[in-house]
Amino acid sequence: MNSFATLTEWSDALQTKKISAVETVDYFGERIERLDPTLNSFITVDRERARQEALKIDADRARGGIISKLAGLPFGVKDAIDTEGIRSTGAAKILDTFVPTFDATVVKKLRASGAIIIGKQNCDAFGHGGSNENSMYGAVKNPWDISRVAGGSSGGSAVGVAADLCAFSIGEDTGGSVRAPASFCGVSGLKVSYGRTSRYGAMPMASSLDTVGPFAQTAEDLALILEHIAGPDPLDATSSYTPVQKYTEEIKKDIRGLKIGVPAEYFLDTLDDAINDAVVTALEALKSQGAILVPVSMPHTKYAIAAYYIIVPCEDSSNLARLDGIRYGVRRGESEMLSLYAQSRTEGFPTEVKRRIMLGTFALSHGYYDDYYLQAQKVRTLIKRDFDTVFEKVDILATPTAPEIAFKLGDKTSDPLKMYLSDAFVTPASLAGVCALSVPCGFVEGMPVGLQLMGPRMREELPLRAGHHFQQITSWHTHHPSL
Amino acid sequence: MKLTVQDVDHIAGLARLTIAPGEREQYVSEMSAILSYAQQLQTLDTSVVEPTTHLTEKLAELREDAVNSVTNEERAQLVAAFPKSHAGLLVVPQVFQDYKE
Repeated sequence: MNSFATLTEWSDALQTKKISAVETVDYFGERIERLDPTLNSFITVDRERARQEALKIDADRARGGIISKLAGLPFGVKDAIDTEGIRSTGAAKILDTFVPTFDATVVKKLRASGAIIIGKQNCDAFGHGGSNENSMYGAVKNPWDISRVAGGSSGGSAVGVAADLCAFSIGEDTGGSVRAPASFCGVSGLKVSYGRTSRYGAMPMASSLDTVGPFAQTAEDLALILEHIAGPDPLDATSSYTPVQKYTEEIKKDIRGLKIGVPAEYFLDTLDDAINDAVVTALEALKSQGAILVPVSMPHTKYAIAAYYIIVPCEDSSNLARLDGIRYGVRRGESEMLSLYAQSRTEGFPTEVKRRIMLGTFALSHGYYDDYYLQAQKVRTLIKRDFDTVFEKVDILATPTAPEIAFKLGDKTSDPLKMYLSDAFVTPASLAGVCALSVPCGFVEGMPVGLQLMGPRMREELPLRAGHHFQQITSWHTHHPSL
Repeated sequence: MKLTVQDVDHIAGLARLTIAPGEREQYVSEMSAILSYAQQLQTLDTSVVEPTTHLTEKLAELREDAVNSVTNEERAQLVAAFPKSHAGLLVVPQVFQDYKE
């Protein structure tokens, strides 16, 4: 196989027996062994286990018993998503020894399709961060320039695809955690609509926003993965019964007449000129295929970061209360209950996790609840209405994914607010629960730039269609770092 | 919004965290900056706006209220995932310090 093959190419080669599942696992396993000591995108790799599963897939295929397109394909899973029998730390030491007894539903579906877990990917601890520097297992490096961040929080999952260490990855996006690293690393990443995929087994961060979604080389690959992971789940009461589409067919439909809204609030004068130019050029490419660009306004966009960084820490603080040293993972201090809680949590969480727990605890506390949490939820309603209104006029929205290229490691670690502001273009879709895709659309200073395509809730086929057509007429997704 | 060192200590206590004396000032300044930024939310008139608490249009159907069975193997795995156990039972520190036989 050629390097950086798409999922679709791997799948064809496996189905026509040009390559075996064992050879596929070996290909990625060798790359991980060679490249990951530098990139640090995996926390746990289990090559031998993957090989055993591959042997079984090859034997099944030889007997004619394999029909799934994903059978034999090695994938990486963000370490904040539970995997049966494989350590799942969430990138925090409090879960250093935690081995789940079950698979997250998304993982379970993929494994049932014959896809093979090659390893667990580094991330910001429990998804807290936009740079992947908040991992207690070290920062992930950007394969385009190892002095720069990979983006976060699902940074390891983006690098897995960007550096060709796995056929695809499963990440988690609460406020940009799939899209931002996809943009920084030059790969395609999909934040699904809230409820499109099951959250069961994804370590909860902000339960009213969390989504589980894929990274791959192309929008077409994402469509194929989504077909396998979407759908309702009795174990997640918020999963949606809206019928799952045949995304791989839907994306091939014409984009002639597709109305693409261009919200002014994402293209302010303060936006970096080079990023603006890359995105505007991408919009022209879509227009050349018959899409109609429509200027729109979403007036509450500028409040998204403030609302997001109140709501999310509040939900974080209550969700993470379960990690107390009693029930899972690592226990510190044995003498007395309260000091055991405090010691296990204080030693087991990195600073950003503690900061969010503290912020959330404060914002939910007596006397501040109305001013912070309740007001943020009301502003969330206004942001959601912006989307509802605009989607009456247009089919999808197009914006930059991030206001910048991947920044240098350490540049923003001393200023959390500055770090949060990097999420300005990705948090609105999360608050509204709509779907959003990031695809590569150019380079600035040798680093990838992402185009964000947002669609209405449960309409993943629309941004995927635009992204697929964009990748038919551009070659940005075929550029790869030299490693 | 300007927090104090005392606020940070109080919040840490509620959150079951210990903030080292040398780190308190950092938490004060960083949390104060974030809360000050969030105060722009107060400039919006939301007197007639309902809060959004969830995004689910229809809750998944509830299953029958019945206990699911657990195999011995699953039970053993769950106990093994617990930080400390003894003879298949979960071990935690004493909760009631003054209890007398």
